[in-house]
Amino acid sequence: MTDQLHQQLSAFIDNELTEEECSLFVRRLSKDDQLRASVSRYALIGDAMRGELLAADVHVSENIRAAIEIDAQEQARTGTTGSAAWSRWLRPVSGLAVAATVAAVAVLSLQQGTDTPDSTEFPSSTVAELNVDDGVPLVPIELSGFSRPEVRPASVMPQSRMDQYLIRHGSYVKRIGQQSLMGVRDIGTYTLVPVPAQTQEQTEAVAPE
Amino acid sequence: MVPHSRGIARRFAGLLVLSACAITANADESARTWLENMGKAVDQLNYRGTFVHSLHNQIETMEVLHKLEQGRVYERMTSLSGAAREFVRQGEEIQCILEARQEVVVDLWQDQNPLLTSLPRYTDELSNYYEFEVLPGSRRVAGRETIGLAIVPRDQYRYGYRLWLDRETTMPLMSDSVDSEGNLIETLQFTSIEYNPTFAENAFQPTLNTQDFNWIKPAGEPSRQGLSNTTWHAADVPTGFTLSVSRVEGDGETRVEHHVYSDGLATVSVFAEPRSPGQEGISGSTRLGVTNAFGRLEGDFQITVVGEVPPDTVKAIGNGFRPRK
Repeated sequence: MTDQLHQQLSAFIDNELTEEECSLFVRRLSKDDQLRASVSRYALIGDAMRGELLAADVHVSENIRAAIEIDAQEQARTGTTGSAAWSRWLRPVSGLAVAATVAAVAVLSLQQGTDTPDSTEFPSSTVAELNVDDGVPLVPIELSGFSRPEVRPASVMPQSRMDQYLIRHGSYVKRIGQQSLMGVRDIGTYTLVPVPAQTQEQTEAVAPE
Repeated sequence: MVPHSRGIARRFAGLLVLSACAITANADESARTWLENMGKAVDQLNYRGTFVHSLHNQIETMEVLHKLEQGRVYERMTSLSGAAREFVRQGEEIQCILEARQEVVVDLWQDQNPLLTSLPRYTDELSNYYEFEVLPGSRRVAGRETIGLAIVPRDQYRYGYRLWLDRETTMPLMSDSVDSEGNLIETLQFTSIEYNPTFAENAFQPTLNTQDFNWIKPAGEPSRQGLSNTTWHAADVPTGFTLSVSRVEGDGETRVEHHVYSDGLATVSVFAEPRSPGQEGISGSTRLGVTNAFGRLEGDFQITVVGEVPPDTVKAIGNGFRPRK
C-alpha cells in the first residue's frame, strides 16, 4: 500500500475526508479486497485496543457504516448468501464482514450499557438467544454482556456447575488452533436464567403439538 | 485420424483429471501437515500475547501467557476489557476467577495424559467430513507473516475454520469459526505476540484480588481410568462421531459420567448425573459463548451436552444418550 493510500485510509476511518474524496475512496474500496481488509482490520484492532467498543460513547465511523451498506447491497445484488457464502469466505481476504461485526458490536454494546435490569426479571433478549425446539421447556441462557449486572437464579443448575462442565470439556478436548485456556474462555460470559414456572407450564401445555 | 485424435484427447483429459485430483490431494495433505505442526506449536511454544475475541454481539481483548517447563504447562489468560475474568492454570489445576460473580471455580485439568485426551487427528478419514485447503497469498497478523488454511465441513453437523499460522513458528495467530453456510461465528486475532519472553517469577499467579470470593471446588474426585465402568452410551450419533474418552467421577449421588465424542476435529462432551433434590436441571438448546449446549432429563438424571458444534449436533447426541440395557 502506498503512503498516499495509507493516509487516505486513516483519514477515511477518522471521517476526515471531504464528501467527494470519501465518495471516490468508497468506490475504490468496493473494488479492492485488500483495501477493504485493511479498513476492517484497522477499525477492529484500533477500537478493541482502545477499549472504545465497550464505552458508553462508542463511535463507529460513518464511513465504515456507508461501506457496509455498499457491501450489503452488493451481496443482495450478487445473491452471495447461504452456501454460496463459502466460496466468498474462502477468498484470501474477507473484507467488510469483520467491519460489519464491529458495527454490530458497537451498537449492541451501547444498548447493553443503557439497559440495566436490576432484578431477576427476564429480559426479552434472553428469548432471542434460544433455539426453540420441539416444545421442550427451555431454560434460557443468555450472554451476560460486559456491562450487565449478574442475574442469580435460585432454581436452575448452579452456574458454577455448568462452568465445571465447560472446564472438563475443555480439559479433555484440544480445540483446533487454540491453547488450552482458550477452551474455557466462555466461562463468565453467560448467565443461566430460570424460566418462570408459569412459562414452563405454558410451554409444556403446547408441547404435544 | 479423427478417432485417434479423440483417443488422445480423451487420454489427455483423463490425465488432466488425475493431475487435478493429485493437486487436490497434495493441497489437502499439505494443509493437514501445517495443522499437525500447529498443534505442537500451541502446546510447546513459550509466548506472551494479546488477542481480540469477537463473538456474536461481543468483543473482548485478552492477554495470554503460556509456558512449558519440565513437561508442566503454566498459563494465564486475563481479560483486558469488560468484566474482569482471569483463568490461571498451573499443571493440573485451573482457577477461573470471575469478579462479577465474586467466585473462583477450581477444577482439575486433564490433558496431561494423552490417553485421556481427545486430540485432533488429521487422518485420511477426516477428509470424509472436511475439505482442507491452503489459502492463496499471505497475510500479516500481529506483525508476522502468516499462511492461511481453510477447513470446510462437508455437512451441517460440524463447523468450519479458517486459520492463519505464523509461517515461522506455525503458531495460530488468527482463526475464524464458521457454520456450514459460511456464516462467521467467532474470530480470534492476536494483535501482538512475543515468543520466548522472560517471565517474571509471579507471572503465572492470579492478578485479581480474590479476597472474600466464594471458592467452588469439584464435588467428586475424578477417576484416573480411561474407559471406566460406564452405564450410559449414545445410541445414535451424527456420521463420523465416535466415542473417544469416557470417565466416571465421584460415586453415589455425586457420580457423574463424562463421555467425549469426536470426529477427529470437532468434539462433544456428554454428562449424566443424578438430579439433586429440589434443584432444577436444564432442558432444551442454548448457547454458551461459542459452545452450544443441550439439556434434557432422563428419569432422575440430568443429561447435559456441550460442544463447539452446531445446535443440531449436540441435540442429536443428547437425544440418543441412554442408559445401557
